[in-house]
Amino acid sequence: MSKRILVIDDESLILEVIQGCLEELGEMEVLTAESGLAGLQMAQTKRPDGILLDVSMPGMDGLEVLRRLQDHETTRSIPIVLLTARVQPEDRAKFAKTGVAGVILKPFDPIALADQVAEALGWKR
Amino acid sequence: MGDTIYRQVMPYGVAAASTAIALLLSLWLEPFSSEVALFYLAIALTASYGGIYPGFLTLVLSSLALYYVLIPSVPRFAVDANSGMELAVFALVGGLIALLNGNLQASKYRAEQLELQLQEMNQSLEKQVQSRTDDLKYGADEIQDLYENAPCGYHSLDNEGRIVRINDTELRWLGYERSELLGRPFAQLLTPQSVQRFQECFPRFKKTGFVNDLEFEIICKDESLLLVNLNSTAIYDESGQYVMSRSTLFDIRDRKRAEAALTASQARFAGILDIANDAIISIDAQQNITLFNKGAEKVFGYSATEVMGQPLTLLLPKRSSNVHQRYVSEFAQSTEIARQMGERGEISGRRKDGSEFPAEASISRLELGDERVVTAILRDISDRKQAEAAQARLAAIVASSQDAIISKTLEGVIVSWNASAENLFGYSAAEAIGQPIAILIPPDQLHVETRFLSLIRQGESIQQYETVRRRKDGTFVDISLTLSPVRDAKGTIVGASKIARDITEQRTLDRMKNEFISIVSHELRTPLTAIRGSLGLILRGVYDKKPEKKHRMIEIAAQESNRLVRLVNDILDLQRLESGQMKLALEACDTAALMQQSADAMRAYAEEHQLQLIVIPLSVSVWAAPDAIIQTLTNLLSNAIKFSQPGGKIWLSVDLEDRAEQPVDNASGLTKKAADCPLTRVRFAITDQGRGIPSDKLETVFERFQQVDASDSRDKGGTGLGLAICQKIIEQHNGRIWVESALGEGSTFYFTLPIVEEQAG
Repeated sequence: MSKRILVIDDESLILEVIQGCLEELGEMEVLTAESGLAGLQMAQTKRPDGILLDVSMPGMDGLEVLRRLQDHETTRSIPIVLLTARVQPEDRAKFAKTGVAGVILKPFDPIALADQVAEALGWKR
Repeated sequence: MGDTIYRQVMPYGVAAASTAIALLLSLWLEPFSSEVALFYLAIALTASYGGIYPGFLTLVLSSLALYYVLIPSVPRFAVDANSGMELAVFALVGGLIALLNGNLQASKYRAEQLELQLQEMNQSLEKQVQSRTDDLKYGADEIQDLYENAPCGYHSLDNEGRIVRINDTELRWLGYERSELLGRPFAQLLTPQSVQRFQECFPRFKKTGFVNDLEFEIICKDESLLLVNLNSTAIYDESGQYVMSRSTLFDIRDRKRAEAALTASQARFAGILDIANDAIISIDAQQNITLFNKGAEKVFGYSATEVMGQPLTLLLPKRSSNVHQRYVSEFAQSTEIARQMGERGEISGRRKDGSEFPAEASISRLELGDERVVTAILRDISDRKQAEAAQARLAAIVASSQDAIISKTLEGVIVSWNASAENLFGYSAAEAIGQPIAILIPPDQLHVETRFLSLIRQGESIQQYETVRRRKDGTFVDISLTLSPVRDAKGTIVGASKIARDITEQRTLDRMKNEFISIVSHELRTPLTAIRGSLGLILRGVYDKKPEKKHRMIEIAAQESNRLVRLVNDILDLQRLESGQMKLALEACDTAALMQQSADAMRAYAEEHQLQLIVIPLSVSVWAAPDAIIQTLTNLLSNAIKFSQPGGKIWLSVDLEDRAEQPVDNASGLTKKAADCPLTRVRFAITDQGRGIPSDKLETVFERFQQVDASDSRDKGGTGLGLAICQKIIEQHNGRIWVESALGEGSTFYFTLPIVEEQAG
């Protein structure tokens, strides 16, 4: 049974590409949300097995979404991988302290993305 | 007294006694002798002994005795003729006897007296003779003593120049006994030079009879030299033959020593004059140079021989020589002995080559008999002036430095504090100087300061150490510190200089730069992610069997490539505008033409968004770079289109700046002629009916990547740099750009441009 993953990113074109990568090469069931708030609601209602979360988003940014997911009882146990174009060492050090399962940098390798996500989330294929 | 009375009374007693004895003997011898003879004897004895008056007393007493005792026939108290006669004869004879014996006695007495006087006279004469003899003897001794022990030497030389007399003083000087020298030629005692002089002078002396102030060197017995001054007179006998000399010698060794010392002192003084670096110049009453030392030669470039006797004005700048002459004359007439020159300004000297130099001088006056010598001591202070000027320049640099410049002792006590230090730390110089440097240092940094001070003591410097300091008001400031040792003239480290630069601004700039790079990096990575992802999937053949999906991926790649190109272009434009690399070439442009071109470029885009673009043209000639203004206008129109709802309107108009208050609501009635308005600026306005901008964002929208909503760049295809570029372009036109907006009603972006003058006038 394929894993259900929620991808949250404000860039709709990137969402499209990620969806392609994970569905076609990772055999995952992909849910997408174009904002942090939409992502939170979807995480609570659709109970994904994992979440790929963009950090830099207008309004509620990825770190705020992460905090709320971790605070909320129903979403606390969902493993999360951060996706970010913020590649400065201090940013990465900050992300490492958040308790996420992994961090993937933009631009990512589209062929390897599904593997990287599955590995970070601890899914065996 | 008693003795005198006894002597006066005694003869009369003898008279009485001798009379009584004569009476008794007469009575006893009555049968055998004449009673009268005994009484005569008594009278004679008494007169001989006591003189004439006791003799007469004896006579009277004897007469009475005879009358009453020895002539019984005669009745008592009755005198007969016979006995009277007898008595009268007795009295007469007795009187003669008394008289003669009395005279004899008186003569004898006078003779005795004379003899006594003679004896006294003899004794007195003998005393006088003795006294005179004593005096003479004393005088001779005294003369001998004076001769022998006078503070000068005496000697006499005979015709052959041999010593015939010499006093003790000279013997003492020479160390000889008298016997060793008497008969010895005086010349034998002299040094060869003195012998020569003696041989020249002695024959002449014997003829002339005198010689004065001859100096001789005499060799003493112990071979030491005695230097004497000799005066001599010659003694001749009655026939005029020379007998001997009488010479007086004075020991002049002390005088010679004093003269030598004086000469040496004068030589030393001359030497000091010559080694002095200062110019020492004396002038006479006519202000001609009489002394010009080596220092003066160095300072003025003249040799002493060149200037001796020359007027002092030779050494002065021509313009000030009169003033100087008057000054020196006035000083010479004054009662002052010395004076510092130049109280009322600088003294200048003129060198031989005509160049002038600043000098410091003092002047002094010396009275030498009738002569009045004025001496000036003068120092060339060119070097000092230069040093002072250099120091003043340094002080000015320190005072005007943007950096705080502080110095402190090795114990960390502040000793100087410039104006920038006051500004940076908030303490005035008066407050800071004397305080420990620790007042500036946060407690957790104190150990660093201690380490720095120990490094300074070892002569090391600390370069651009970035740290934090505390201001007077307790706030902190980021600074960059440079510390260097301060040395005194001997090179000993006595403190530290500290240059503190406020790096708050630099840090802010660094942070902004880092943030910009971070944002740019993020903005570039986002489209790249989409491009790489979509192309990667196509390349892998994932959508080989899904052509629609494949096409979509190609679309995504193309769209994001365009976005990337815009972004890169905008970043480059902005960077070039900000760095000044892009210099806009301004020319006279017609506003109507600019508006039209921009509107034409954007009309299709507006229609695509179902928007009406209304242009209200006004023809004004402005100074502008046309491409840059069209870029600005299209950018602003593009924003207006992007943020408007379909069916809305967008206005593009130009106004003159004084009409700012006029509402811009429609196309009618707003066309005017620029020539009517003597104003120098036009104002462009781009108005939309879009969602509006919150008031807190009205300023920040012009900053880089400061869209009202970050999603705008994604949704609207913007780069986040458009307004920043517009602002830079307008700033380069000396114009102004701003936005007025009401949320939900729309926004108007304005910018101004300068009008070409001919039209404005």
